[in-house]
Amino acid sequence: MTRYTEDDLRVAFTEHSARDHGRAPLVSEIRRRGARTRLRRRVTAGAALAGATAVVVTLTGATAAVGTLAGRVVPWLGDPTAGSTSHVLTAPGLPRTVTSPQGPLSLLVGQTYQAVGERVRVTFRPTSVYTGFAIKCADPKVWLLVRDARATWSNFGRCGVRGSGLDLQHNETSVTPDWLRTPQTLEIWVFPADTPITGSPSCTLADRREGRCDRPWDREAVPKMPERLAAELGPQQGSTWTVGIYDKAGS
Amino acid sequence: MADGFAEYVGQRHERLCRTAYLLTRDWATAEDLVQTALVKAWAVWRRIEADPDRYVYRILVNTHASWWRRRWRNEVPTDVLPEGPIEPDFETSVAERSALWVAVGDLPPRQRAALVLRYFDDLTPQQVADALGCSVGSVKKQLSRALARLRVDPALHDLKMEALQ
Repeated sequence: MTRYTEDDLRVAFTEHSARDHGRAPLVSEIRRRGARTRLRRRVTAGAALAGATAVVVTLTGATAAVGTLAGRVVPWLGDPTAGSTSHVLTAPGLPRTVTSPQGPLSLLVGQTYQAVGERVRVTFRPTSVYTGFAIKCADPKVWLLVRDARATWSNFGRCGVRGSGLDLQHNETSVTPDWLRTPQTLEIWVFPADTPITGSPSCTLADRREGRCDRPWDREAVPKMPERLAAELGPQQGSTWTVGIYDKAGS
Repeated sequence: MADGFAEYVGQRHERLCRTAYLLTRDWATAEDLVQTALVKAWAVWRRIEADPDRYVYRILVNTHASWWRRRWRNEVPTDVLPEGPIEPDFETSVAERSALWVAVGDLPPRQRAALVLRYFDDLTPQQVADALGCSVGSVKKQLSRALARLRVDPALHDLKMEALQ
């Protein structure tokens, strides 16, 4: 029976990890992803981001245009908030107001959907830079992707069980320059809990151009091309989920 | 800040990839792992630039552990080690090192990580403990168990040196 030395171990490690040339480090890509990570950490401000995201957006004085391509929308619930001219709506499970470091934020729009496997767009006109949003899912295991329509940021993971606060809130440094000047659009995709998405951001035989990772979907590819996954799955009548948009009223 | 980061990446990227490869046994995964660790490092660069290795190694090991946990069904640890010649042979052959390499692959991820950091990256037990997020005692225990499973005898190092003299 062979007995090895520590030197054998060192040599084995050195020999087996040698290669002629590897992929050059993509510093610009690292910086870009690092900036997104920083943004997420900054805007979450203590909210748990373990997986997926929730967002709230505030609309004051303006009517939010909430639309879905094909998903069934469950009727609005709630009533107008005193002191606001906007059409204030609430949905089950969403509080009227949430606390934030900038003070209370009011719920301006709440909507419940059964749209699964398709894109839901929520367009709103922010009234402050402290816009936040929250999403609650009846089935915490569904996959949730939230991103802005310009794809400058995204969050993707299991929806999970969320508290009563915001999932994500913007601030002065995270909003785009035109945040208060033009309507903003949020894209929300919910995929069934049993969607074959890998837990690993890497896999063998991956074809990044097609977003495929052998058989299961690459977790990192889905936020970049949810349309492909949606096309494969098709729209479904799944469990319900609710999005709430919050903002600092009267800002 | 960015220049210091780029310099660090330029100097350490290949070495980190080799470490990651020893953890993952797949170059594509290793490069993704290093990329992920560097993204996290960039996000907190101001805080860690005095000693980035400490943070990056920790992220590397933790991220690999989380990926491994998610894919654990793909790896089947085994207690069976490849057998070598019956008589001890101090002339290390390529074949023996290949057997050793296979045996290292069968170790639990944490033991493998401890071995790689200690014997490939030459980290001290304290530095390995920092990377693994545990005590020095725990590192020594992991190393001891791993070496025992691999039938690596630290004492043989000295014997070999004596034999060469």
